Amino acid sequence: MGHSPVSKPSLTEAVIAHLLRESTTPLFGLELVRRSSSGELKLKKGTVYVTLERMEKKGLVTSKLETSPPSDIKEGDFYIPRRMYTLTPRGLQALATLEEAVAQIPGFLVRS
Amino acid sequence: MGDAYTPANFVLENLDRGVLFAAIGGVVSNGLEAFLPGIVLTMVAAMMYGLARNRIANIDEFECMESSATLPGVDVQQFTLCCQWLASRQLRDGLLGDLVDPAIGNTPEAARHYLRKTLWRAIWIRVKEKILTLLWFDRSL
Repeated sequence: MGHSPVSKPSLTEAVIAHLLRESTTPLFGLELVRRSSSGELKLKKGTVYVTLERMEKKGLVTSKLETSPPSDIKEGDFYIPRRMYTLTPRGLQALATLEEAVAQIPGFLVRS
Repeated sequence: MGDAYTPANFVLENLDRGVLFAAIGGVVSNGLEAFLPGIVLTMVAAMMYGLARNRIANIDEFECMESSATLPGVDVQQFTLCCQWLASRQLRDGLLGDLVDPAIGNTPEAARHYLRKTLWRAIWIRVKEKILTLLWFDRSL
């Protein structure tokens, strides 16, 4: 089954897509929360996974489980493979669509 | 994972929609009669349908996963079951994966507190999203 045409992402989806685009490596949810800026655009722990799941259903991101534990994990520490997320070309396109729309907003409406 | 909008999913979504509309109808009808037990029973029936449907529809996805993880103070199996009722494998992987971070999962109490706090928030968001999607308001998400 194919995806529907690319639509503009929601604000939270755009924040996640932006963070994934800026990163050179796949990111997990908590890292996305940490990297998000404060205020309105701050991602929330827990709810970020609901949004990521929706984005994956829309084909904006793709995920896979970590194959090896991070280096700071010691023997006997709790470890479960984390789900790492990457932006897809479709996600990149959706973000570009939103950026184009934002660029058309008259300057006086955008706070400098 | 990825997009899985198959004909089977389409049928399930319409079934969910039918149940939601029936539940709304039941709540409104009972509300007009000011019959509180009727309202409560209708809501409970709809919730039970949702939980059971999620569990059944996601058996395969949750069966083929590694479930050997143990964490003092956290019942991983029970938590997994909660996530299965919510139909979210990603929520399970994500929240348990967060505990790998020493700042969050360093003590059993901290881990339990984190899971409880984030799970309630996730449940609320997930239920809200599901209802909005079934009512065709998903564009506003």
